Amino acid sequence: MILTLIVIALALCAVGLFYMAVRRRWNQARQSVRPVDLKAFRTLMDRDDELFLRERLPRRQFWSLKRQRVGVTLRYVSRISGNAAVVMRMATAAQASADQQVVQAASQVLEMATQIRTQSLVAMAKLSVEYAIPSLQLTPAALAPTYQNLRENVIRLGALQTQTAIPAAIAI
Amino acid sequence: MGMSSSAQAAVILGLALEIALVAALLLKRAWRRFPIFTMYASFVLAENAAAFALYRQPRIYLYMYLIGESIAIVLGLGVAYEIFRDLFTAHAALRRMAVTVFQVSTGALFLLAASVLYYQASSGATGFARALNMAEEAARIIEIGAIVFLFIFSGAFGLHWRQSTFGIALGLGLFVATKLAALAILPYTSKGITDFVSMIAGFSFDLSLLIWLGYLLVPEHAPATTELPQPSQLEQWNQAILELIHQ
Repeated sequence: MILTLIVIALALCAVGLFYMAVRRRWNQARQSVRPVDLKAFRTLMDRDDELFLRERLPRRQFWSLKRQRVGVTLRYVSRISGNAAVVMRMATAAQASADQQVVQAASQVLEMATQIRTQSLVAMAKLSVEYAIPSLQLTPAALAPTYQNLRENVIRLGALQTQTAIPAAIAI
Repeated sequence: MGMSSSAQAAVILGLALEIALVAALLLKRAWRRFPIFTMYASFVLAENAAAFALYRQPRIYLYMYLIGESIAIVLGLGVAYEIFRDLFTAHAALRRMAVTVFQVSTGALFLLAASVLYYQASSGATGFARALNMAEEAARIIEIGAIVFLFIFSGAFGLHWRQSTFGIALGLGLFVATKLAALAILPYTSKGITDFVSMIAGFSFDLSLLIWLGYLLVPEHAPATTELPQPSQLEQWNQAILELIHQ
């Protein structure tokens, strides 16, 4: 009987997951890149600040504060991750272009955005561990070179798409 | 074995939808991209048409059901693989990881299916119909698990589904989930409730047919190029990530 209940729960969870997927797909169509508040983010990520608080505050109070900070940081990382997903969608669409240069640039952007998305998941996992055990300090995965490359390639892809769009508009 | 006029109408409606789906797949040349799904849809149409013609002969109907469902389940697993292949075509970087995770998940699903078979067999359940039910339940667990994996993995990595691929996965997933729940409930129900549960499972397939038709026929929305991020926004991401790394 317990196994039967597990099987029914699996089926119900699957239906719930499909519902969420439909909703996400619906929202995805309207999703755009969201800015990140750099100043607030910097304050949140300041480890010296954290060290100072750790030394001054009672353990329980520090843990509570650290959890709040990690929670907000997670939202920022989630936003960056969401932005990477928007770029992935845009690059996937650009891959259908007739211009080989656009297709090539789109493939590069897609690969890097995928890497960022993967690394963001790793960062989120590490931050989640810090949330559970506030005394830990884990450094998220290194993303800097990849992110720099992505930025350059997205700009290149945008320029290429603009170049191909203008002659088409003139022709019409 | 008799069939009420409302049940006959429901079967004919289902067959009409299946004919429409096969016609749509052929006319839109979708069979080139989804050969296994086209085979699945065509096979289900042939199976249901034969079942409708032969339902007055219970013995032949039973064997046909047994063979037909076995082939349909294998083709359903093939469709899940086809969706997997289509989804990861553009994501070479993720494919290797996805294959590994998919293999591990399938192994876990096989274990769950084997446990279902083992515990139900050891609980003293007997009879040909019961054995059939158990085998189908085990196979459906693997099928729904494979589809759920695709949705979870694509959600985690923000993968973009093409409209038709999403529709095929959604329709198949809804039908298999309903069928699995029905198979799990059936051994514990009375005759009246059994008929009701079977009817719900039948309607869920009609709903899946409508989903497949809808997602195949409605034109896909092309994302606007205005979605391109501005360089200043990209700079903000970059700095934000750098802060995160060098904390």
